[in-house]
Amino acid sequence: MFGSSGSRVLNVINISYLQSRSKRVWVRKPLGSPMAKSKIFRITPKPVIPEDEKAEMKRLFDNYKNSMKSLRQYFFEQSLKQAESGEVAQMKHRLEDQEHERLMEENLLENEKTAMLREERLKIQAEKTQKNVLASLIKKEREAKQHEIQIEDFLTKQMSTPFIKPENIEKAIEDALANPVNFNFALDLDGYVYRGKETSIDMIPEEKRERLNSN
Amino acid sequence: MPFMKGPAPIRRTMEYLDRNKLVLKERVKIFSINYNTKGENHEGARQFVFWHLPQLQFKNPNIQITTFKNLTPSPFIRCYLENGEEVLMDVDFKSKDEIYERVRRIICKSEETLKAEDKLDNPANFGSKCQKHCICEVPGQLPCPSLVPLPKSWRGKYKFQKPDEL
Repeated sequence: MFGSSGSRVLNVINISYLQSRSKRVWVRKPLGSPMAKSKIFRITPKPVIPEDEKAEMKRLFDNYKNSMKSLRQYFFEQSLKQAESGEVAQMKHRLEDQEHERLMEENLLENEKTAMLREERLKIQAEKTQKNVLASLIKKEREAKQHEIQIEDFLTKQMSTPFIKPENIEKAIEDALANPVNFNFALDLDGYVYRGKETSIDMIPEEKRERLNSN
Repeated sequence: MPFMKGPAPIRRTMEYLDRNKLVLKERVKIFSINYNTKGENHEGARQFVFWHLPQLQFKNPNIQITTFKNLTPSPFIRCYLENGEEVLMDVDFKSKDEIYERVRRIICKSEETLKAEDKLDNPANFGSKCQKHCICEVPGQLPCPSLVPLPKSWRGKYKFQKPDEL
């Protein structure tokens, strides 16, 4: 039913283990085999331990485990310390420190390099912004000047038109009364003016007047 | 299988996190990086944080890594060591690869140390993360005492047992 589980292995003192060729020794039931008929409905009685005894045992075990664990950790730390205090370890530490210092100096040099590059870049940027600001200022000045010129032109134009001031008012009134404006005129598409209310176009042959807007 | 969420989710895969050499030295306790979210000279620092910071934290789970954003006009990395020393690295206008190389050179364990500490490579190490679990697996060595008990004279409980004191 179950195949022979190999040859026997004796408990020996010497390092090599001997093989035995006689009876097969039953070590354990093979793992895939089913439970025996006499054992399938067996219910093993669970050991009943009273609560206070359980508590006492737990307390003892906890104390023991705590002490063992702490001892173990303490010894581990001690062994680490010992390893560190040995000669080889000290040399290692020294080498490491030297290496570290060398790397720190390298780092400082690199920092300085980047700082220099950064300063140059910032300088270039500052010049650029200065130029930009100057250019914009100049532009603004120019525009302001142009604006001023425009305003002056407009003002001169306005001043040149014949305004009626309080000194001229009497003269203006007399002029207006003396020269009444007649609005009875018509305009041609070609720009000719036909004055008067009763004039007809056919009556004026060649005396056409091109009147530009006189203002 | 659907895509992983987020930008560049490869950063969250085990392979990516494992495959880098940013194991900081033991004396480094805090690693902080200052950078801005806008600005051309911070581009390298930003990329470094995006790509390599997860790797760094993965390889150094017991080191505090912090980022400070939009505080200073130029980016820098500052590491605080055990003895109070500070390592300041100016990374203004440097690319991500340059920053990576610099960090690796200055405050990470070198390749030789990593190799020496690597348990898997060295067949002289035994344990859970090594090639062999116990020296008894090596042919030519003592067989496992769980299979073949050691001679009584080699076992501590018999050697140190003082029968006359009992």
